[in-house]
Amino acid sequence: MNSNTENHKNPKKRHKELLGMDVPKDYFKLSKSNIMEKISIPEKKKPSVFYLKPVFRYAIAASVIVLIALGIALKYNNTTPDFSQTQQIENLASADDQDLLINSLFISDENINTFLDTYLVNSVMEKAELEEQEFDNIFLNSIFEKDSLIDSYIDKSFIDNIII
Amino acid sequence: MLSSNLILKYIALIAEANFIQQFTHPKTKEKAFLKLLDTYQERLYWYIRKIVITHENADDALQNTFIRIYRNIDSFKGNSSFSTWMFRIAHNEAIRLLQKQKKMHLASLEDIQPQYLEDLTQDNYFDGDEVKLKLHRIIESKLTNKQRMVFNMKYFDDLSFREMSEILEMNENTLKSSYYSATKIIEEEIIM
Repeated sequence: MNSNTENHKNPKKRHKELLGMDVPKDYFKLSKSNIMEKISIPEKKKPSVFYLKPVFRYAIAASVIVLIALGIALKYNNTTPDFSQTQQIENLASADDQDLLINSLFISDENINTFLDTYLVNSVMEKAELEEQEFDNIFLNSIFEKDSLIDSYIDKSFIDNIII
Repeated sequence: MLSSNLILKYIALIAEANFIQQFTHPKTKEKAFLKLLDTYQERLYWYIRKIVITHENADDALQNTFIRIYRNIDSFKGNSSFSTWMFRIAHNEAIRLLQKQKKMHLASLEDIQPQYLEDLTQDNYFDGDEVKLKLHRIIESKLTNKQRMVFNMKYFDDLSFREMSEILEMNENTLKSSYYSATKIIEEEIIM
């Protein structure tokens, strides 16, 4: 089997004789006209899809970063103590025992535990201060009192102070 | 003294460079394109036809090929000859058409699996007798996809192994080996 230069001089003949492949009459002339007609039509530019543009991608990336930063900032703000509210709780908790129930109405549910804790701490601290004052008084008074009296006086307060 | 082959090659290169220059210039582009059509239209058609089998498919692919050539001349970098560049476009268009028709799943040479004989016998422009059908049967069933491509390109399209290597992006020696295997198989089968 030898291929020869006649192949591309008359490929139509060769393909028909060996492979039985044929073309319509004047096909290549018509095809040429069709092609020339088609190339004269300007190429339609495909509409660019916005979400494929680089600008859109950058915008998305920037938005994601902003959202993350916002999330972190909000989380940070939630964890920092609200000083004004803390001060309010302290003030209300420091009030008289009689006003405790009324004052608790001004405290929100989520802060009620804080309010009670603050009240308890304040009460204990107040008591401790009073006891301390008494302690000081004991020593001052001891200058003028007998030892026996001091012993009985000290026992109760001293033990109380230890417990507190 | 240069051999005649080298001289011919040199002349061909000069002619090609001149042609490309005309093709890229707006005033002479259309004239150059008409000349291109006259020279390569039929060759490209038969090349495509043997891949897609039917005349209708070949016509579609051929038109798409030339439109693509016309519109993408600027993308020709000169890494290969202009003709092999065109053949590569034609090859890709043929594959693309078959893929679109869902007759194959992958776009590589090795995965070409057209419904060869079925399409051939149903084609209005197939005028083959039993002998021709036998040759087709041998090409379709006895040769591998690569052997079939190489045989068609060498025997019917008269492309050199170098040109084939550029079009198919395959090693020249591999192509030679495929071709000689194909011719041996066909000779043996035809004699039987």
